[in-house]
Amino acid sequence: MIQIMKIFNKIIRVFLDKQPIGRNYLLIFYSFIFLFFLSQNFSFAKDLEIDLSEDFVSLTTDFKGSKIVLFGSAQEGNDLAIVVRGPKQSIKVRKKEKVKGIWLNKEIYEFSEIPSYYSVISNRDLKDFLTQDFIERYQLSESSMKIYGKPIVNISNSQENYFRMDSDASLRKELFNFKKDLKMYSFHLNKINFVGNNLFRTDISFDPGVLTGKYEINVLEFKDGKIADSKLLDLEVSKSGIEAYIFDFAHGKPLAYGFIAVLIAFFAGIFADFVFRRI
Amino acid sequence: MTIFLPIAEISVDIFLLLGVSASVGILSGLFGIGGGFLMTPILIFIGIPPAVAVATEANQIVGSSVSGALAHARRSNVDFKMGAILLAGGLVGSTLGVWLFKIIRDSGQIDLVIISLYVVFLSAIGILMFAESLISVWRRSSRKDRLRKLHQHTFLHGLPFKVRFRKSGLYVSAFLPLGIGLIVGILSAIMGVGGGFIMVPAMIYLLGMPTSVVVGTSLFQITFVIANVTILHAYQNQTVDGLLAMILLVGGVIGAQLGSRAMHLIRSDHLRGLLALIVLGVCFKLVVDLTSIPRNLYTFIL
Repeated sequence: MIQIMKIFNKIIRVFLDKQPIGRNYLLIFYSFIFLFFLSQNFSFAKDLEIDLSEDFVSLTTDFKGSKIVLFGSAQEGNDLAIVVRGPKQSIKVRKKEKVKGIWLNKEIYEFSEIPSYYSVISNRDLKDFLTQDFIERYQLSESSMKIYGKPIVNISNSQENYFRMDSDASLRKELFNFKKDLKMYSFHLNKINFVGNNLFRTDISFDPGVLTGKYEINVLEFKDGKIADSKLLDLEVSKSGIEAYIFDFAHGKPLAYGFIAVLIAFFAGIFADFVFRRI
Repeated sequence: MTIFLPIAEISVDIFLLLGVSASVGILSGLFGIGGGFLMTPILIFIGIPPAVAVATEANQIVGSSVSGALAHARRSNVDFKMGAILLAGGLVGSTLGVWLFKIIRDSGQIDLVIISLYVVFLSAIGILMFAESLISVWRRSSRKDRLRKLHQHTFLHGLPFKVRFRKSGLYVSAFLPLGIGLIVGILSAIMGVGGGFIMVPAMIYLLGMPTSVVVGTSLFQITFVIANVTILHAYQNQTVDGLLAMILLVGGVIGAQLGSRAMHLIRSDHLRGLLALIVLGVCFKLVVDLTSIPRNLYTFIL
């Protein structure tokens, strides 16, 4: 069954490359395929099988976010949890503090090697079918995510006294608020749709601002509170188009970039002078 | 239609950018100002990080000052000798400025420094312009004319290394234009402005240059100083957003042409008063942002 889906997937992908069709149409199309197979009363495989609607996400200049469909089959009655992890990043925290009426910035903390993107998706509340111990071991909830950080101490800074050090817990909370606002961390407890008894689908959203790199999708199948099966998939997020080109150029060859930026503006100015002198 | 700006790393509506740059362009065409000192704060209000706003605005000014300088050069309103000495000072100053910028940026206070400099200069310019427009309105109604001394000698004329400037009809120390160029260059690099609003008064009141060549000469030297600023910002800080600069250039050029064509339609002293109010308004918003409780106490830097 899943092999047939994959073939369909490939066909659609080829089809899409030739004709720009909105992602929504693709979702509708998939739904029809599901319904088609359901009506045919196929006998489905019992093992956990998964695949993605696309293997890569491409960040373009007009990138407004992207949804990737994850679909597959699992054994009837089992529960599912999907963990999506983005590439690691380090984040420094600056705090504003009022010094003589003006808000000053200071770096006070650094989170190192934390996931830039983290999403947990399940078919129902994890607590209903897993023990707290299990949730923590697999980092399936906000509070169980392992986030490392330490305060930045800089004694030479004379403004030291003004800046209160915040507790790790409160900064962790701020980080989560920040990440959740950007939709980089998300926890969806009821987002996997079962179509019929075995087939399931869900979508994974990527909002503007996602880092490029390898994203790891881990699908866990649970039976009676224990792992019955699991599957791992990779997804590549990369930049493309003029936006990526400018960014790479600006950071890769900054001097040449500067010269070209100036030259373009220079000739734009001369061109404007030339054009408007004639009007 | 929103586009994602590659260096600023935010999504902005392209028509908002075009509209804003065209509006500032109209003002700059009307008054013969560069517009950088309005555009940079407005970019900051839109949400562009201040460091990116400064460097990108510098890139835009390259384009707008080149077309201005060309127009003045055609009417032979440029004192190239004076321009060259101002430029020498300006290149040193702007290089120094970008270096300072990097140090301040690394210390995490660049936003504060940029905004504070804007508050100081915008409030000074706004108040001066407003007072001037009030006086000129009043003077016209009372039909009084004041005779101004053509040339005044101060200690500045006693400095050594005197050079003759034929075009400006001046015989002054080279240190004077060098110093002016240097200071304006530093401000140019840190604030993302051409610096005409300081350069022009300095040329008139400190150097005593005839007003006919002042604007052309300042535009001539700004073109190269701001090009230096753009290249160095791109090189040291990677904060020049080429895409944003292009969009601003398109809006700015069109606006400036409209503005300069509409110049004769409107009474200048009234509009000068209006510009002063706009400048003070921008300044007020910056002060409010600086002193009011920030929306987020914490910022996260990737």
